[in-house]
Amino acid sequence: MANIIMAVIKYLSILIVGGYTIVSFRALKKTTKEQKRRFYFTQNLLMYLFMVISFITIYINTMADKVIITGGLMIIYFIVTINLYRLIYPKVNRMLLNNMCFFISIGFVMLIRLSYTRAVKQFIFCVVATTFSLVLPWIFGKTKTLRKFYYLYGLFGLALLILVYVIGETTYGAIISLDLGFISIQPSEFVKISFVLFISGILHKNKNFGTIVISAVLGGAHVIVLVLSRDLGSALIYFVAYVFIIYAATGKTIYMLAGFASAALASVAAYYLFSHVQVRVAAWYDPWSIIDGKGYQITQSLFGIGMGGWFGMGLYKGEPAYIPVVEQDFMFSAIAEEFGGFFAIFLIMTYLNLFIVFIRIAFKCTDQFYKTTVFGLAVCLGFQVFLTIGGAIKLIPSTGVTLPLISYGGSSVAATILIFAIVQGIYINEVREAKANGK
Amino acid sequence: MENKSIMRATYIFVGLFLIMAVYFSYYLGMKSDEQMNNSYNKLTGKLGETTVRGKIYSSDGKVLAETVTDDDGRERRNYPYNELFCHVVGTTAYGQSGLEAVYDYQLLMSDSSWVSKLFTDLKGKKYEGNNIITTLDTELQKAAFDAMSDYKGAVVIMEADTGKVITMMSNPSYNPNTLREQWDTISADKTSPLVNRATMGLYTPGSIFKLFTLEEYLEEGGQSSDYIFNCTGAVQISGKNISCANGHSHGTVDLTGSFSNSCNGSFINIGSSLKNGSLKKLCDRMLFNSHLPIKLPYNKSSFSLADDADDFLKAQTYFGQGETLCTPVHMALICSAIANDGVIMEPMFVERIENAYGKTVESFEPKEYKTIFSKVQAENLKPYLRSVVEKGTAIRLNDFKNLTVYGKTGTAQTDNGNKSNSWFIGFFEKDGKSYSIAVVCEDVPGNVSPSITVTKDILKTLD
Repeated sequence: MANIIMAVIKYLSILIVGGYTIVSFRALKKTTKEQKRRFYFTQNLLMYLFMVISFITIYINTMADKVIITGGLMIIYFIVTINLYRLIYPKVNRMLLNNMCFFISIGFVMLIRLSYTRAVKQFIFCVVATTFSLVLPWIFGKTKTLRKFYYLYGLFGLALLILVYVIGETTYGAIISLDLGFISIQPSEFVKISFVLFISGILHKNKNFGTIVISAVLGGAHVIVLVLSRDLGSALIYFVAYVFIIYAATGKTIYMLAGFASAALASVAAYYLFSHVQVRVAAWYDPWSIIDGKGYQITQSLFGIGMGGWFGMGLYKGEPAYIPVVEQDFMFSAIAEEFGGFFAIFLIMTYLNLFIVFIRIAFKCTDQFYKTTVFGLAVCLGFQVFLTIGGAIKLIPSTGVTLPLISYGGSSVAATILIFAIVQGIYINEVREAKANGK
Repeated sequence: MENKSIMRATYIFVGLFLIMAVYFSYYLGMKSDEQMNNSYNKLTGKLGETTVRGKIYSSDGKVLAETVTDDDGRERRNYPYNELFCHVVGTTAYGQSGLEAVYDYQLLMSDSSWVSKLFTDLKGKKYEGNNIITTLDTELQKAAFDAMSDYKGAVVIMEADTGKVITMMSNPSYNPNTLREQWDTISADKTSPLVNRATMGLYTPGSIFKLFTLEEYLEEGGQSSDYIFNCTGAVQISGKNISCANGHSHGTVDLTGSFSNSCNGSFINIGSSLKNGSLKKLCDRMLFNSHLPIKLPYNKSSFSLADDADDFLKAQTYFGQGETLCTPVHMALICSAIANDGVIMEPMFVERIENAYGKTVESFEPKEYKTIFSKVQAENLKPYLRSVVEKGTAIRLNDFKNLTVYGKTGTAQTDNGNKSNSWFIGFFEKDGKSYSIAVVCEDVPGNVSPSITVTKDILKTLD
């Protein structure tokens, strides 16, 4: 009997996430308010349904009552988050809010399956970050002076990264975390935000060549410190965000080309200078010849994806923990292994949907500073998704970044929730206000 | 700040996401399957929870391995032929071996349609794994097994032009159905019943090595018509006596006679006339010290002869004593090449993979591996091999009605000459098709040659 229930749930999960993806894209189209409301409602309904059926499977396999309690609390967390946002900010962007909750819910399910204690930790981080994020849009509405301190953002962020490089802790070969005694944080996740604010701020002031050189020096310093800390994934995200923001702000293709030409040169230099870069490239180029060493992680990821097939092995029927560091860097493979290839493709599409939602908000911003900020954050998130999924499927060398809102990691998930809150704040105060004022 | 440049940037990202989705689909749809069959893929172990392991069939449609569910619902692997195929088909009883290990993933994959899988899922049942149809023949395997019942050793029979392995047996054996219970005894057994001697057994070749000495002599321009040797039954090398089998004197022999009667003195004479280092070069080409295209675990045959080796070692090497070691499957491949215009085909154990409903999922085509003789060279060797059967040491294999046998015998001294390994390697033609064969009997006393009797017993079933 239990087997039959689990089999039904396996296919149902694919249908639900497929349905969510379709609804999300349809909701992007121009329709009536009434219709949109129905789409948003369906999104939430599908998410709750996904959580409920997943927790049934988890309960069948673990027979642990605490799972039911935690699952219930998680669902309550989503209900509270969604409704509190709607209550406090009637103009909240529902697509942004729903998508955020959707990704977090998938992360919760997969994490409980992998490690209950980590799931609980992640849950606590989410609750704290969400609570904090509730006030951010309000702050955005109250002040317009945030942009004035852009040098502070740039210098403070850089200082923090240097601090990590000097006294930080090494995790999987990269110096990325600061141990504060009661908690260990990864500043590069948060500095991402100050970095985007800095670039947006400096360009808002002035777009002449001199400003761009200054931004390039300070921005480049961020990237170099990250490379020295061996945090290659973050270094790439910062770099790409920088190039795209400059391009979007100036509209000059030459900056984009110059950016990628220098990236190509820097990559070649990094390859010859740093052995850890060579290791990543070798593990990507032919992991099968070094399967018992550097190629182990990526081949385990490919085994997971391949064995999952289109329909997945089923929750608890695979063994995603065979992939080293699966909860942080290879959640995509874990999902593909147990939920299947269709589910994984729907997930890629939902991330794309999220990216488009971000871009649309950037589009509608009349304020240049906000426009670049939202665009920059969209690029950060979008490129992060590309790095982690591309790495997991061996499209590109693995760089060890998290899958936004799904991977385990307090700093990562908190920083992403903050990014959502900032964009939400800009949307509520800028876009909707502008509309209300009839601009 | 223009929305136009934001739009362009967005196209780039939409492109990146689509590339990811397309590459992921391509990987899953086209590429992943071939990579899953890997010893590092521990997930195959998990497949057993959702899939009933498929069956292994012989080429004549008999079940060699199947999973049966006992009354209490427990699954058990059953091998209807008991020890008959224990090495080649292998077992999952204790770890994995043989084809069970090589095709582990395929047996645990279920290539039925997703609709039928869906229904299987909804019924709460397990999928039925794919079946593999091997090239092995139960009749011939049985014949080989019976013929070898008194001897340790191995038999390999292959179809020369396709590389299909029809028979592969190794003695002593074990019963895979009871291996788990008897593991302690069997694994501790000094005669190593778990080892597949056909691919793993390294034997001194003895006189079968004369085939290579002869080939090198012919390749260096040696002519059969020019050659004459006077055998007195023994030769003196570095003050030591090397005699022919049983001290028998062959008298005046030509090249064919030297080969068919396996005259040691004559082959020392031939070997000494070869260019320095040339035999090593030839043996490297003949896949000594080299990988073989076999999916089962195997050992590399080894040949080494330094240019400055002493004369005695050189002399011994020329007629197959010395330090040379080879495996039965390697010798079968060499003989296949002689019968197949010099081309070695990759040994094939599996013809096709079918899903549980008999629909072919994948079929395997014969594949050329390497050309080790020119067509002319292969043709030139045949009369020598034929003469061994027509008038030489294997004359007992000359009285089949429908088979023409070619080959070379060998009796390799081991254990200071107290015991020997008896070899027969060669090929036979039947209904216009050629099959190679390698037989080795281990540790037989003195100078008897049971391998010829064994070969005869096996081939009788085909005659």
